[in-house]
Amino acid sequence: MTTQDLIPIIPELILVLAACLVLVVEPFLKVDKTANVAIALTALLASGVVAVGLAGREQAAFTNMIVLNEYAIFFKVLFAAAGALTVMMSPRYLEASGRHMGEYYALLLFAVVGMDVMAASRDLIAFYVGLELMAVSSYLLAGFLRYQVRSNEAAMKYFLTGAFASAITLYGISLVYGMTGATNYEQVGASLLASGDSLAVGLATALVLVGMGFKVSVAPFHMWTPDVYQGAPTPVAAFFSVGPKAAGFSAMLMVFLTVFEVSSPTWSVLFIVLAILTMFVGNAFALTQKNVKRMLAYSSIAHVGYLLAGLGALGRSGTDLVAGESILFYLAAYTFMNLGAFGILAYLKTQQPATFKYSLADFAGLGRRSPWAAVLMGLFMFSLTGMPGTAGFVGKLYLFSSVVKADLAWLAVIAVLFSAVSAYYYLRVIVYMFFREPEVEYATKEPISGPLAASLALSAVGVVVIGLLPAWVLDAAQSSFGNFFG
Amino acid sequence: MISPSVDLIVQFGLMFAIGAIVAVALITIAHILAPTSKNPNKGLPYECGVLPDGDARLPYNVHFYLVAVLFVLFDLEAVFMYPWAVSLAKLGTVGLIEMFLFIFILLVGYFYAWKKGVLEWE
Repeated sequence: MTTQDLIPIIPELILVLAACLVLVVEPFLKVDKTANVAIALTALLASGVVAVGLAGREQAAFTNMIVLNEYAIFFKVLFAAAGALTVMMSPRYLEASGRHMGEYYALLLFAVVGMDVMAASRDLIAFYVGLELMAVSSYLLAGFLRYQVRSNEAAMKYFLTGAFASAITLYGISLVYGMTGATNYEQVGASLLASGDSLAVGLATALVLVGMGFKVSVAPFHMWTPDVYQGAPTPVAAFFSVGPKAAGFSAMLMVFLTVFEVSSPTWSVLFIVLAILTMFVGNAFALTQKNVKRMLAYSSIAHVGYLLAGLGALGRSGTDLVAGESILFYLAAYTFMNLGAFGILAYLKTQQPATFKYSLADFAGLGRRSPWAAVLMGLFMFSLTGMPGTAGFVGKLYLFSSVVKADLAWLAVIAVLFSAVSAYYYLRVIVYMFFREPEVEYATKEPISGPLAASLALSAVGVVVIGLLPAWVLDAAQSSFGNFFG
Repeated sequence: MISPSVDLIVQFGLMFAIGAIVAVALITIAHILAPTSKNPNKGLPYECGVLPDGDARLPYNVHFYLVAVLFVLFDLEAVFMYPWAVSLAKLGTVGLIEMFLFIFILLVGYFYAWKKGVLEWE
């Protein structure tokens, strides 16, 4: 290690130091945890700003295990934004649940560090370490409301499936190492290209794909998702639905493009099949949900299906990386709209901690009761559906057109049909909010907390700005891949 | 490299087959060979010949668990230090700084546990 090696990981160093600081400060704080919220928020903002400041640098560090490039920076900024929005929506929610503790923020910071490492790694071992750091922090976050049975259940299910998935991924990695004797992405990729596609490569590809499929909840490995999202604290569910998923895709893109370049015909077909299955399962089950939190969990599975269609297209299109760019764009758009939707749920829960059960009936008459929340929820639902003028529309436009460019027009048609189906369950929430009378009249309680309002506002701004002015995010996504094959 | 795909099928096939056969065989053989004499006393937990008294699942102080976890953590820290100490001459100043960073991070955890009252025994 040299001092130069530390430059690419400055954003992560900031986060790790802040997490340590949170843990040191925590025992001295009695009830008011504002100091720790401030530390976590400052660190995430600083990490994002430093990452932007590092843009333009190309550097490999730690004997090529970690790299700094536009791709890593894109995800560092995205993860910092997702983390910051989650931190902002958490304090009031945790207070309402009677579990406002500083450890929450330390765990969140560690999870973001793990995600950063996943996106920046160019070595299978570094990737795995990042994956585990993210996963272990996530298990604890899922069970944070430890006096609630559902939260315990969520943590247990997440831990068991996660450990299982890690083992499968690791088995795939071990096969790759056995064939090539290397763990560096480029070395492994070159070595596999030289020896050609074989059954062993196909097996390793499938194992890594299945393991990562568990992590990003690809059907048929999605069973844990609704239970975990429903049981976990709502801000944590918000974070799960965007952070670890984006991190999983950031790592999958790199691993499949470089390590498994030789088996791209295999994984491309696998991804296409899984995409269709995932879109079907996510949308079909979301249709039947009466619980909005579970509905959003299934909808997140459906969105993974759309992203998988992009990965399938990427395997078909050779050196044309437009599908990869549109996946990055979609992840950015999805982060804002999904965090916003979960943020509204967190807000409503803090309003009525006892009575609000996330069911559709609880949304009846929301348009009259708290019009701002209803309007924002409407915006996020429109965006998730893919209505023009929102981030979701542009994301789907780019993603599906990249699928068409890879000569998979039929797959794009299927994806569009499924997202037409999705309109039913997203717009149903809007119907309940504005056109249904509540069975029981609720009195609105205390006003919204400042940070939560800021989080919702920023998510809404993100959705609208990306929807109306998509060029700058698309530029960032395009420069992320830069001279990938150059 | 010896990886024509047929070899691979044989290798993996053998591995999975042996795994499955061993698992099934052990259970089956034990089931067949083990002498079965039905006696209600055999269903009791074995406590060195003494009649079992009370439930085995007693609640015990969670402190045992916390101290055990802390012990394992710092035990492993010491394990990491042995190879480091042996090769310190080659690692140089950077190696020294790295180890102190490692210890610093663990120290934060120790401080946290201490302040949270894990080490206080009542």
